[in-house]
Amino acid sequence: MVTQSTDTRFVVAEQLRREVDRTLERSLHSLDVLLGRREPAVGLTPKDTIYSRGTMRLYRYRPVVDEVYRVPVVFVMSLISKPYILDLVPGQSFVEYLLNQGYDVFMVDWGVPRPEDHKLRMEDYVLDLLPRCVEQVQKLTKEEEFSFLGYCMGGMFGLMYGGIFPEAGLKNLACIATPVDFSGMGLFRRWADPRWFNVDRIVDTLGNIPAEAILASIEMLRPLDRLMGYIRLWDNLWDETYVYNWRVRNKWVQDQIPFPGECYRQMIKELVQGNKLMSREFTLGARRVELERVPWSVLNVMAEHDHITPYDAARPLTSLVGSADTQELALKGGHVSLISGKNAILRLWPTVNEWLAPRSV
Amino acid sequence: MAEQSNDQANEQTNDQANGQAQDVVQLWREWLTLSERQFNSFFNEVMGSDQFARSAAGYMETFAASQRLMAQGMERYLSFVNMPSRNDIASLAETLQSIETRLAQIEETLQLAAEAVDGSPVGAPSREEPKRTRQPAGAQAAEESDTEQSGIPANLRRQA
Repeated sequence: MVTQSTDTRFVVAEQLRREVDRTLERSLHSLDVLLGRREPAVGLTPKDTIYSRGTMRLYRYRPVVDEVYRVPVVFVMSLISKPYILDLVPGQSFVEYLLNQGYDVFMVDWGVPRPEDHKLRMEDYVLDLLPRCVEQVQKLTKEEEFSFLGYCMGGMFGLMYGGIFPEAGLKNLACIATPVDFSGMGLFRRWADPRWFNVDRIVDTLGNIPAEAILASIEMLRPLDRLMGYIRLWDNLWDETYVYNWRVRNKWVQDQIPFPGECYRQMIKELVQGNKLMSREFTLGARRVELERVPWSVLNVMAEHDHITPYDAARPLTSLVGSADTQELALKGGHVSLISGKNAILRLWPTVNEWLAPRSV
Repeated sequence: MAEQSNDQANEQTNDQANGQAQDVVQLWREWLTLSERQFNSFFNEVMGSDQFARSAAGYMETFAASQRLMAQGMERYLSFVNMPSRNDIASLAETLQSIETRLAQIEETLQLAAEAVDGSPVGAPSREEPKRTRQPAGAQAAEESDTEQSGIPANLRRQA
């Protein structure tokens, strides 16, 4: 009886000690989070800027092996976010992973649009800037063929480029969380209904769409995400690794950029309201995006729980392209966890590598 | 013997107490996840209605209209105090950008001309380029096993 009460006291004391330790850890980490101290440095993989135009930069990451695959890989980023989600921190970087696997890796970073960039249209990105980047990659590597890896809207740009320039040397296109059927975009489409959403008035007044508006529209899809994120952070605040990963991810999520006004108008009218990519009527500079005659290989990777690019919006991609070599995969995770974090390291990255390696020789 | 059973009892009590504490925390976490899902789906249902979409669009329009009024007022004020407005700076930046684009075009033309004369690409990388002959791990292994079996590399056998 005496022993049992001693044991219980011992257990209580042990738990108390653990809680005191955790409280101390929590206090230290919460100060770091609140004051923004020891901010994790992102995008550290060594790279060279090989071409620039306006805010756009084309990077080449320094190869880490002596022998690389013949076909270079070009990351095409979305206009909605900054590209460092692909190169977060050492050990959590898709770019670093591909370099280690033996690829020659490039990245098209569109930069942060300035007020004077509000006139940029999709034509500027797909018919002007992207071909120039491709030209630079081909010149530098002395290889005609290349692969595109597009995340979210970057995949759409890759598709559009390939549909307009089918003979330009695009060999492989991996689209990750890329929407093509905007009828599957759920709330986004509902909010952009032309009966009440006057995109002309908004773009004419604001020019570029402010980053805050973009972030708010994304957060409204899951209104409790931010609050729950903070509750979970508090729960795990004693755990240094959790806090570090949360800060890295949160930094990127909150680090939104403005959306070029004209491009936004075009996207809302032609893609979201008109769903023209799906109906094969989408044109850029009077040239139709002819996906039905593309010869390149296509990989379509979707996340099962993606609330930004829902499964229904991404799934028809492979049915749109005429290529015989297509593959689609639905992986566990959401829009961000598909591309970064433990989920990506274990699932997406090896999958892309397995698909790309035999097609890059 | 008695000590052993005491130790076992201690461990059991420890495990039970820890287990109970963990169970409560785990239950709370599960409840949190479940509530998050329920609340999100409830809000999604509300936000998916026509009324909400109409109000959100109305809010955006009001925000845009207030921005427009503020910009107009600010422009008048800046003009009154002889200061450039945001639009003036933006148009200046546009002019600079078009100059930058033209310079880039001239640079490209010059590079092409220099390459035509020199024969080697201008601005070629100073770092040594990696060989572009890498093969996937599986293919390499298969090739190695082929070579081991016949003693002749697969590509040479194909030629033969």
